[in-house]
Amino acid sequence: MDELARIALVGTAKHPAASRVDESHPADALLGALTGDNCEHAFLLRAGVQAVFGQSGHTAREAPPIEPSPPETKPVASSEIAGLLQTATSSDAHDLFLDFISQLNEAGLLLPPDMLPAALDATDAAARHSLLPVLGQRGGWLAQFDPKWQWAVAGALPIANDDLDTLRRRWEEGTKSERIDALKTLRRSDPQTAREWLEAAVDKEKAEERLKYINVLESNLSLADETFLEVRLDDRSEQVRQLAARLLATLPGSALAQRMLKRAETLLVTETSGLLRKKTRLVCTPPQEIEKSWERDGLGRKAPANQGKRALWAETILGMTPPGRWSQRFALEPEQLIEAVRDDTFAEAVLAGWTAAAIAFHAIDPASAAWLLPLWNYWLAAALRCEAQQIQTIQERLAALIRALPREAVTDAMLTVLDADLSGPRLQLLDLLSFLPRPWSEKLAARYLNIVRTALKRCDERAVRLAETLAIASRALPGAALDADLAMPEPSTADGANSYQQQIIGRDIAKFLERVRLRQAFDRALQAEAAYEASSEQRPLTR
Amino acid sequence: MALATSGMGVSASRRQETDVQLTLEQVSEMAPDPGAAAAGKKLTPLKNWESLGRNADALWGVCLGSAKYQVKVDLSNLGYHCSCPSRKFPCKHVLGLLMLAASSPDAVAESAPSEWLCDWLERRQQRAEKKAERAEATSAKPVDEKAQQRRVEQREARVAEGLQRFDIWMKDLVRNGLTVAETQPASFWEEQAKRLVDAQAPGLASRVSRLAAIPRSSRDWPARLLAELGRLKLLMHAWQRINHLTPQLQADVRQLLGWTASQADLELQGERVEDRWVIAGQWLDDEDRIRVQRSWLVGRSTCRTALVLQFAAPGQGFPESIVPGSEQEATVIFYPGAERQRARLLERRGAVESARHRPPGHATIEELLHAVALSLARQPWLSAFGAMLHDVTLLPPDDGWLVRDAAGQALPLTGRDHWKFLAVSGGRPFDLAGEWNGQALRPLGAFFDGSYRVA
Repeated sequence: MDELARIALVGTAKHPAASRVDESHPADALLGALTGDNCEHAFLLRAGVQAVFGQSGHTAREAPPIEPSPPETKPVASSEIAGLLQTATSSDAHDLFLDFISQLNEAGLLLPPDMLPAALDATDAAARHSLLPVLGQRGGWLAQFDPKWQWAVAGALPIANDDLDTLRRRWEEGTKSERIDALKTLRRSDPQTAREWLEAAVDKEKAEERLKYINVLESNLSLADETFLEVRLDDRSEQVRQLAARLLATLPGSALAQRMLKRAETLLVTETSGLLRKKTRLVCTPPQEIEKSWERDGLGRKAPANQGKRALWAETILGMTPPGRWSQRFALEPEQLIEAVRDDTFAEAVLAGWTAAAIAFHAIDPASAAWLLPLWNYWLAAALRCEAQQIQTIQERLAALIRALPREAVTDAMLTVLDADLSGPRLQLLDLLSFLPRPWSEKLAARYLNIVRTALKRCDERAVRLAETLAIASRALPGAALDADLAMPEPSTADGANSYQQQIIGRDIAKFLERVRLRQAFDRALQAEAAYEASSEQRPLTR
Repeated sequence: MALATSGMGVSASRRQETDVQLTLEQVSEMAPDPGAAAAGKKLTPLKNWESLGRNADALWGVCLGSAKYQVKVDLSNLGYHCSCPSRKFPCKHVLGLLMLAASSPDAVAESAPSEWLCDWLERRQQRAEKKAERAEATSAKPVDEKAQQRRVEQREARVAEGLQRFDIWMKDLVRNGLTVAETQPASFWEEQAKRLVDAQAPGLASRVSRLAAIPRSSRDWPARLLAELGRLKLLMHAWQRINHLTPQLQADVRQLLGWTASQADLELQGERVEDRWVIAGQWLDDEDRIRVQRSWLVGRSTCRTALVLQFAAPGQGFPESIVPGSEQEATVIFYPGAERQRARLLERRGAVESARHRPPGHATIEELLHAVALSLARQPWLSAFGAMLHDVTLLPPDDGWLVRDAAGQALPLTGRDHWKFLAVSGGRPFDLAGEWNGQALRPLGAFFDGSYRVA
C-alpha cells in the first residue's frame, strides 16, 4: 500500500510508475485483465483491491501474557453493598462514602473490583488512607499499571521499617505530597532519622514547604528535636519561627518553655480587696516594650488591627504556658481564676491565651485539661451576650475547645447550646455540631432529634438553621439512633412564616431522610453480608 | 457512567429465578442519559409506588411523583409507556419501576392486571396487528408495474450520471495528487456528497462525506484516504457491471449506493432466522445529526451474528428496547446480501432475560480474523464486524490497550479507559464482545463467571 500511497500523494500525472502494474503483488495479479481505460481508472481499482486485500490479511501481533492478580485473602463485598456505595458517590454524599468504606474495612470486606479504578483515582490523602485497606490484592495489582496509582501499589504492601531506601528515594525524588508522606511515615518509626533528613534539606525549601515539613515533627516530638527547632527560631519566615516556638513550648523542659514560663510569671499578679467578703482580682501587666530575644521566641511585633501590641504579647506568652501552672501558683480553681480576671483591662487577651494553651497542653498535662470545660462555659456565656461582630472569633474558640474536650463532657456542653434560646447571628453557634466527634452519644442524638422536631414545626429563623444541621446529623447520628423513628414534622406556615423558609426546611428534611435511609440500607446490607459469610463455609473468596 | 451503573450483575446469581431478569446495570443502559438513570434509581424505594403488579406479560405500577403516573412495561419486548409528560424515553418512572423489579423482585407480586394496563396492552396489540395488516396490504396492493419500472429506470439513470461525474472528480484527485486534499475544508468533500445525494445515491454520499475526517488525522492518512477511494472505485465499478454479479451481491451494491429495502421487500426477500438471540454488545454512534444505535446479536444455536441498527433524532427514544446483555427467543430477519450481517428483530417471544453465560464465539483471534477475511471475500465493502472472543485477557497500555487470546496473539483496542474490565477480570481470561473495524476492536461487553458487564 505504501508504494501506491506515495504515487497518489504526488499525483499519477507526475509519477512515472503510476501505470506500472506489479504482477508479483497478488492483488495486482488478480486485476491484470481489468486494466485498460485510462491510468487513473486502473490505479484506483488497484488501490481498492489492495485495500480489501490488506484488510483481509490483517494479522494479530504477539504479546506477552499478563501476570494475574494474586488471590484475595478477605471476602469481597456483595453487589448490594457495591450498589449502595455507588449511590453514595453519585448522590453527592462523599462524606458518607468514606464512612461506609471504614465500615467495610471494619467488617473485613474488600471493595468490589469494578469500583477499584474510581477508588484508585482518589487524590485526597484522607480518602486514600481509608481506601487503602479495602483495595485488596486486586487493587494493589491494578495500581501497578498506571503511574498515578503508585500510592496504592506501595501502600498495599506496607513499607517495612527498615526499607529506608524506598522512603529515601521518595523523600529525595518524589512530588511534594509524596515527600510529606515519606517524612511522616519515617517520623512514626524513626523520629531521629526523619529529623536528620529534614535538617539536611530544610534550607533549600520555600517558606511554605518548610512550614509543612517542620509540622511533621509534631508527631513523636521530643527533646532530641530541640536543637533543630531552636535553629528554626532564626528562620527567615515569621510563620516558621512561630511554628518552631509553638512546638518548643509544648516540649516540657525545653529552654524556650522555661523562658516563656519566666516571662509569664511577671505577667499575672493577684490583688485582694474588700474587708468582709474578700475578692481576689487577677491583674495582667504586659511589658511596654519587648527585647529582641522575645521576638525570636515567636512574639510578633505587628499586632492585628483590633488588638494592641501589649495584648498580643500577653496572649502569645500565656498561650505558650501550660494553664495548669496558674491553678497551682495561685491555689485557685480555673473557674475562680477566670472570674478573677474577667474585669481586667487585658481580660480578653488573657482568656484567649489560656484557651490556646489549654488546647495545646491538655493532652500532656492533666492540670491544663481541667481548664477546658470552664473556658468553654465562659466563652459560651460570652457568646450569648456579646456583640454580633465578636461572635465569629468566639465561635472559633468554642470550636477548638469542643474538639479538645473529653468525649463524656461533649454531650452536655453541646446540649447547653441546643437548649439556649438562640436568635440572629448567635444561631451560627449551631454549626458547632460539625466539630463534635462522631458518632454522637445516644443521649445527644435523642435530645437533638427532640429539639429539632419541636423547633421545625415553628418554621422560623431558628428552624431554618436547625434544619441545616440535619446534614451534619445525618452523618453523625449513632447507628442505634437510626433504628428509631426518624420522621420529621411537616413544617407549617401557621405562624406567618413565609413559604420560602418552609420550602428550604422541607428540602433539608428530604435530604436528611435520604441520607439516613442510605445509612440504614448500608448497615442492613453489611449485616446481611455478615450473616451470609457465617452461613456459607466454603465460599470462594473471589467473585 | 462507569461508577454510576456497574457492579450489579452478581446479585442475580444469588437470587431465585424471577420474571424480570434484567440487572440494575442493564436497566441503567436503557436510560437516555445518566441523569435519567440516577433519577430512576431514586424512585426504587417502595414508598414511591402503589398498585404494583406483574404477570407473565407485563409489569406495572403507579408512581407517586408530582402526580400519580401509570407506568407499564411489556415484558415480551420491554416496550413501555408512562402517563407522565416527560420528553425522555424511557422516563425515570419506567426506569424506576424496572430497577425496583430488578433489585427487589419480591416487592412486585403476581397479580391481576388493572383496567388501564389491559387497555394499554390491547392497544399495543391492535397497533401491531394494524401495522402487519398495512404491510400486507402494501405488498398485496396491485402495482402499476409499468410506472414502477419507469421510476426504477429514471433513478438508475440519475445514479449512473452522478457516479460518472464523481468518477471523473476522483480520477482528477489522484492525477493531481492527494497533497491537495490535505488543505481542503470539509466543504470540499461535502459538495461532492451533496451532488451524490442529488443523484439519488445517498449511501455513497455518506461514505464520501466521511472522507473529510481522514486527511491529517494520522501519519498514514494518504494510505487510508487512498484505500477508501479505492473501495469507492470498486463499488462504482461493481455498479457498472452489476448484471454480472450474483443477485445477492447486487442487493449489497444497491444498498451501499443508497437504495433502501422497504419493509415489505425485506420481509419478502430477507432470511428469517429463529434462535435464542443474545445482545452481546451495543454502542451509540451519535456523531452525526442522527443517533445510531448499533447492537450486535449472537444466536445461541445458529452461531449467527446480526447487526441491528436503530435510528433516532436527538432527544428521541429508539423505537425498540434492545438491552445489552439480555437474551430472548426471537426471529431475526437478515437484509439480503452476499454476507448477511445487518438484520432486524422481527418477532420476539417469551420473556427478556439476562444472559447468564457467554454466547458462541471465536476461541482465538486468528479464528476471528479468518472469519473476517471470509466475510470480506463475499462482500468487500464491509467495515465493521461483530467479534465475540472467548477466553481473552486485557493488556494495559504501554502504548495502547491490547486484547490477547490464549494463543498469545493480540489486537489493539479502541479507546483509553478499559480499567473496569481489567479490574473485574483481575488478569484472568474472560469473554469479550466487541466490534472490529479492521484496525482495532471496540470493547462493548463482557461475560465474567456468568454475569454480563457493559464496557
